[in-house]
Amino acid sequence: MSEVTEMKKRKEFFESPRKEMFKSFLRRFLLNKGAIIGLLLIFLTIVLAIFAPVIAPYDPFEQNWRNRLQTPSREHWFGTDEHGRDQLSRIIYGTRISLTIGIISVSIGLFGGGLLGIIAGYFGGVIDNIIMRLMDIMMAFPGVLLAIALVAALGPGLFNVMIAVGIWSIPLFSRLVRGTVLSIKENDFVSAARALGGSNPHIIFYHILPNIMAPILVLSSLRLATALLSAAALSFLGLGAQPPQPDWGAMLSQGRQHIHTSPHLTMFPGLAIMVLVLAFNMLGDGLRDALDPRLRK
Amino acid sequence: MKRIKVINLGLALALVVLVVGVVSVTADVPQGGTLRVAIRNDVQNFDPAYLVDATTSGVSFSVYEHIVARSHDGVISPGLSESWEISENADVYTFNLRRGVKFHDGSDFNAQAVKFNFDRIMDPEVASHAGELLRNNIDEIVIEDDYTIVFYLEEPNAAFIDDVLIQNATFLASPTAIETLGEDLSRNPVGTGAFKFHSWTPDTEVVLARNEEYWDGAPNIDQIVFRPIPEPTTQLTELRTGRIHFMTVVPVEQKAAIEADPNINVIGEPDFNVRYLVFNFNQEVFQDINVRRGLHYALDITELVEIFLEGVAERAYGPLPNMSPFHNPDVLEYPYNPDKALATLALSGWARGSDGMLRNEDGETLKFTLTTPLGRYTKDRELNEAIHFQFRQIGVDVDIEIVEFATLIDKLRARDFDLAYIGLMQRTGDPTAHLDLMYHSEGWANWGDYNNPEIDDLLNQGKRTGDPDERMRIYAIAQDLIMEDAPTIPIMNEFYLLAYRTEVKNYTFGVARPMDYSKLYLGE
Repeated sequence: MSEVTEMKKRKEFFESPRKEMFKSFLRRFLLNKGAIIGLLLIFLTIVLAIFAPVIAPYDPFEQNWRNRLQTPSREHWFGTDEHGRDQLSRIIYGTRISLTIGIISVSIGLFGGGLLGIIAGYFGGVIDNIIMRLMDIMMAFPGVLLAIALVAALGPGLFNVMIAVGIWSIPLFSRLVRGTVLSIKENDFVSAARALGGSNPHIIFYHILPNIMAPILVLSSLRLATALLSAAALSFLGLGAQPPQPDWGAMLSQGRQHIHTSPHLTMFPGLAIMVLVLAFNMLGDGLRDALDPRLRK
Repeated sequence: MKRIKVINLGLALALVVLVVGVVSVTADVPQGGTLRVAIRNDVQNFDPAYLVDATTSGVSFSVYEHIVARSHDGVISPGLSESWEISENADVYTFNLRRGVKFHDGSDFNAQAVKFNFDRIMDPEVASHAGELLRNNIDEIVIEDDYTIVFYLEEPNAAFIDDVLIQNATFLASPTAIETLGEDLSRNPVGTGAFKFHSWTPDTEVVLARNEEYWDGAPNIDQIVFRPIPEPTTQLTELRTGRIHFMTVVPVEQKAAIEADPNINVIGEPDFNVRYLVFNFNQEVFQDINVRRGLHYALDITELVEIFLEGVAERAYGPLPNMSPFHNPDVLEYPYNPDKALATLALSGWARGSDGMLRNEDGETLKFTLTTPLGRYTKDRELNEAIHFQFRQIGVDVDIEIVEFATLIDKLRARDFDLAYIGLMQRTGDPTAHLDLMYHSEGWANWGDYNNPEIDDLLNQGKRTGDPDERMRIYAIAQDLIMEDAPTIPIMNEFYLLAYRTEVKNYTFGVARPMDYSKLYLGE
């Protein structure tokens, strides 16, 4: 047996479980109807966001006062708002804002929390203690209250809302990552890598990080839903998107005054928020079911 | 519509009077009953020296009176004084007091009582909130005889009555009560008004009883019960179910719903306020008159107010409230005209680039932030979102910033704004209460640091002139000049809204005395 085939075999031996794992994950994920629906809805939202100028029937900022508070009609499928703007166009453009909020705030939580979690879990000891007690303090605040306090300090605005929601997610990510790192670093392959002289960054990036991806992926998708909802709540309170941005939460808040006479102003943005949040939740649940071996039947 | 109803009622009553041939309507009017009024919060301190909040002031209006009264439309009129004279250069005010008036405790109302009250408020040891204002204005108070009192001023002030003599601290209380009650006056007001104080159960009710001896005729109703109900929606429920007769704060959003109720009258009338956009002159771009005027032409204010205020405000013409007796109806206007807006901006080198944005020679955009409060003034956010849109339409690079009212005030005080939406509300239409504050270089509500010596001169002159016609002329010029210079963009005068049950008859509304219950009666 030549050395090359020997190497190939060895490679197969090591790689096949990973390939196998992915296949079985995909099988289980595709069997989950909820997850597929969630994924499709998110895909649809992304398409709407990218092609908003092509898809939206009107300019979302164009005011036509004489045409205000129209109920849904053939010209305006979702009716018009208090300034006579086309509600459908605003909701379509709103996908851009919603997705941006979700992605940026979760990224902040993911990178900030992930980094802190890895440091705490990997190095342990005093560093672990300091970081995790800080996280405990942050966790002690009720979530939305923390975000409101942060926005109050930073000033209202969409970008600050993303930062606030992101910071609020940091302790969740750091706790999850730390816990996973703690269990992974006890594995033989980590000891082996260390015995072979691997540096800390090498071990973290090549041996630990790939193994904590699954839980991070699940938490991220679930967190996207929460981020969207909290950002909508902050905008509803007037702390988030500033007019005339077509933010769903702000639209909901502004439509509230007309809820008795023009319920469509609150109904459609509310539905949009609900659908996208639901989609991220279904995707997250599907990912968790498919990735977590303990849930395997 | 409701207004018309009230007028019809008045006409019908007048007709009855004519047909029956009786001289007085009051003789036929049902007597007795309890009037129930919702107030926004509990009353606080009834001692005029320390009376600061609007609710206590409103309730006190039935108990105490001023040396002169304000008529329903805000004009100074006889009350405890039958007449008064103002010296030519407005520095000596002589009041001829009404004879035979008694305080609720039986003591006599006379010049000594008036002087006693003023001396007390002006006493630094009493530490009244109005003490300094009175000391700064009044040089000496002289009792000429029992029913004649003379105020000598430090310097001429044609608005002395409006600005100084009529305010919360100058409600006249019985000197006997002040001396015998001491601190208890704060819970036990004794005045000359149409109703006597009866009782106050904190957070529950304030009860006033009819003053049989009232100089202008005893009221028809036996008593008034004021109940603190902070929630407007609760006030509305109480009004609808008939547990209260008057609600004092009508939410604009509910106006249509309330009007639909056949048992409720809604009154919405112009008030002494102006809501306006103020330019900050500390920003270089707004020192340019063409920019200010151009932006003015860019707004269709008539349409804005008509569409977004839905009949609870009227367009402001000029810097004074439209209903002020001094309002100049021929004041300069900037009718909506986008072309003229662009032409005016072009005078200072602002031209639209290929992207549609206005740019100067250096290629900079016309960039500023429009700051508006949220929920302070009726439809403030909606209105400013529309204003933002209209500015954008002619290519202005404007952002909008929506803040809490407290934050807005902080920003105004710190001059930390570009263009802000703000209002000023007064109980009088006298220009000193409006123009002096907003457009005089030293006015406390001159948020934009507007400084025009010509305006300052006119306002000072108006304050020093006793002759009403001459004042009228001076302020007409001042209003024109202000509009020409455009330091602000006046938007609207908000209405005073009030709702009451139809059982209440013969109630006359006036923005200067909305809580005057002395002539009404309770019918079916």
